[in-house]
Formats: sequence, structure tokens, C-alpha cells
Amino acid sequence: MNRAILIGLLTALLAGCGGNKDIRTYDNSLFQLASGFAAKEICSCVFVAEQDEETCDEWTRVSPNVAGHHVDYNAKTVRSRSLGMGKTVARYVDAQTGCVIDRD
Amino acid sequence: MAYTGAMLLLLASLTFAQDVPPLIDALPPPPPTCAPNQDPTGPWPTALLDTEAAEALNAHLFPADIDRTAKERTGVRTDGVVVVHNGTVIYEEYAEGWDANKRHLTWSASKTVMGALTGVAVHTGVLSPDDSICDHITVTNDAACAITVESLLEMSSGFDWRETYEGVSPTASSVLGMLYGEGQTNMAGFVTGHPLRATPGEDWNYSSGDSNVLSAVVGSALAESNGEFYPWTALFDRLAMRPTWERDGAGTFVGSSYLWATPRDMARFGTFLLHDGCWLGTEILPRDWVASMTTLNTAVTTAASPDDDAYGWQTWLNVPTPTATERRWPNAPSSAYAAMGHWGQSITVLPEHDMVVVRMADDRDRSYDHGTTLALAIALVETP
Repeated sequence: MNRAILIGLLTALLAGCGGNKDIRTYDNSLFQLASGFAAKEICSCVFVAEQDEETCDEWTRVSPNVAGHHVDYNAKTVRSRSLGMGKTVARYVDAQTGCVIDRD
Repeated sequence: MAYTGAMLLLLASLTFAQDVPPLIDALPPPPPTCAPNQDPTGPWPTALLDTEAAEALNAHLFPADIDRTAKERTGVRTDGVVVVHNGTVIYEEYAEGWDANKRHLTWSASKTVMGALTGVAVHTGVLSPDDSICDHITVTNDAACAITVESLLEMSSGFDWRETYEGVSPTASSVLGMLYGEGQTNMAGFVTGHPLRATPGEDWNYSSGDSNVLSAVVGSALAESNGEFYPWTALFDRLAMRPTWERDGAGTFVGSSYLWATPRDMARFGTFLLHDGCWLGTEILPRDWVASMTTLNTAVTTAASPDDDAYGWQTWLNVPTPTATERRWPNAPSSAYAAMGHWGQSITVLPEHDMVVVRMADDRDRSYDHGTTLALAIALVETP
């Protein structure tokens, strides 16, 4: 298990524990947020901003980096997964609407 | 008979005189200056400066020692800049990979555009700042009906909202939950489901949630007359802008964050504000709307909870606040105001210099100083 995955798991675990009872948490896992961010923003970066995939990968890189992605240039979609737990598909619509999230 | 008729007419005129204010007060104020040729809808007049001042601005915005390929992404990382003075582009530069035709994410600079669209709806007569949001949309928590359009413009809805990105648990972040989590399917519904922690209108709390509820309200008001793509029919097409504006799962434009535009299109929007919402001789915003957007809002100055941040209606200002005596950009006039977004996006309007400064960027640390940019931009037109 590499260091990034370990940090990701620990962060998710801590987030789920919610150290402060006064802080409201939402019904999202870190993995869902990470895959949602990666899918949506890489889709927009590639198809709206017309940047190359490597640039978009760097642009959306966060720490811990728990999300991987796949760009389908024919379907104009980006699929992202976070350690197999959070899965999101973002789809490019057109130049006005850009990308929308179609949650798996 | 004639006498009776004359008396009735006299009585009627006296009654009229009592009910109606004097004629001088009833006259509408004169129209604002709305010059018909303030800006073309075609290509911008361009006269790029090749001066020492331009070189100084260039050195500040595009430092030679920045490695754009480094994974650390440190330092000043400007992607594109346009400076417009007196309606002419006088400075324009792009980093490798960017050009005048590529749309850049504006992040929270989107909010100021939504503030202007709210003005279009008010000018059209389909919305009032005093309206309850429940006059226009269905809310998840009925307590939200106490929120007005103006309190959304001010960011004083009172929702228990946390605008956090880093430094706290991501699952406790309201904004991340809205953009990428459970809220994504219907952002306004997600936001209005939050409990109120303050009376609406009384406490300023920067919130992308407020901007997206505002977007839903404005969309409800404007879509009937302007169609599904109302931002274009009501504003962008009139300014000859061609942006992308992404939506949530319910079809509401993400007014907080997801407007993508070229720096030149953002300069058009800045120029539109500079001219108080007039374009090609047409008044698109209500008289004084831009003045309201750029006046320190009352929720910021509330005695019980004064804030450091100088904010108007969906717009950042350069004036002192009750708790911050130094202006945000000390080298720029206090009349300056800006749309600002994450990672260094900005559209700054400098009315005293008839100037708009647009910067799109990818700043990941605090190296960049916007005040210096504004001072160097002003020097472009003041240096002999």
C-alpha cells in the first residue's frame, strides 16, 4: 500500500469519526467527494478549457490524492474512482452547459 | 350649472393636488450616461503597450523563474491577463497553453456575474430585492422563507454554513458537500435544508450556498421570459460574451463557481460594470444597481458582528470596514472593486482610471500580490 493511499484511508477514517461532535457532517464520504471533484473538474478542464489530460490531472491533484480517472474522448466522459469506493462519471454536454455529473 | 361644474373641477384638482406629490418630485431622474458606442460588439480595439511599465507588469505577472511544469505548483502562476483602458485593450498576455480563445474557470468570480444577472431580473420587473425567496422557489426548510433576495446578495442568509476547502474534514465542508457530494443533484434544495444560525440580513457569512440559492431564484424569475438559457438571452448575448456556465443536477446554473470564460469575455463583463450596467446605449441594469453591488453591505457592518471583509453584493470592495482599517489593495483607489475566485481569478474594475484588469491564474500559495498588479496596471497609463 503506497503512502498516498494510507494517508487517504486515515483521513477518511478520521473524517468519519468526526472528532468534534458540534461540527455537522454531511452524508458524503471522502471517496465520494474526491471522485466527484476529479471527474467533474477533469471533464471541464479537458472539454471546456481544452487543456491536455496531463495538465488537467495536475490541476486537479489534491492531497491526499485518492482518485484515479479515465477520459473517454469519443463519449466525452470522465470516470473517476476513489480506491474503488467512490465512483463518479462526468459528461460533457456542449459549449454552453459544459460538464455535468452523472453519479454512478 | 356651469358654476357647479367649475366648482367640482376645482375640488377635484385640489384633491388631486393633495394626493400627488409636487410635479417636480414626480419626474423621473435623468437617464444615466449610456453612450451608444462605449464598446463594440466585434473585436476589441487593441493598442498593446510596449513600454517599461508594461515590462514591469509582465515581470510581476509572469516571473521568469517559475517552472510551470513543476509538480509543486508554487509561486505566481498567471494563465492570462487582459487590461482594458478607455475601452481599448492595452495589455494582454498568456502563459503557454492558454490564449484569447480558451475559457478559464472563474470559480467565485461567477458570483459577481450572478449579482449582475439579479439586477437584470429586477430591471425586467420579475424580481425585487425585498422578495422572500419563497416567492420564487420551493425551499427544503420553511424557516428559509424569512430570507430575502437582498440577504442572498449580501451573503447574510443566516444559514448554518461552512465555506471550507482545506484544513478541516472534507465531510464537514458545506461547500464541498454541495459541489461534489449529496448537494450536487439540487444545490438550492441542499442549501435551504440547512438550519438558520442567524437572523437573515444581520450577519455576513461568505457562502457559495447563498449564491446558488440566488441562482435558483433568479432562474425562476427570468427563465419564463428568457428561456432555459436566460444568462445568454438576458445578458451574455447582449455583451457578445461566449462563456460556459455549468449546472447542477436540477439544471440550476452553479452561480457560485462554475462560469468558464475567456479573459476577454471577463473584460467585457468588467467594462459593463464600469459603465454602470449600460451597453451600446441600452440600460441593462437598474439605475444604481452597480452602486449597490459596490457599497459595503449592512450585514458586514452590523455592530453585533462586524467583519474584516469588505463586501458589497456578490462583489469584493477596496474600502475599510469597522474592523479592518487598511484597504485590501492599499495602492489602488478605494473605488476599486472586483469579482474574485479561488486560485487567483479576478476581474478588477478601477472606475477612477477607466480601467478593467482581468487575471486568470493557478495560484496555489500566497506568493501573488494583487495590489501590486493593480499599481503596475495603473502605471501603464500614468507613466509618461
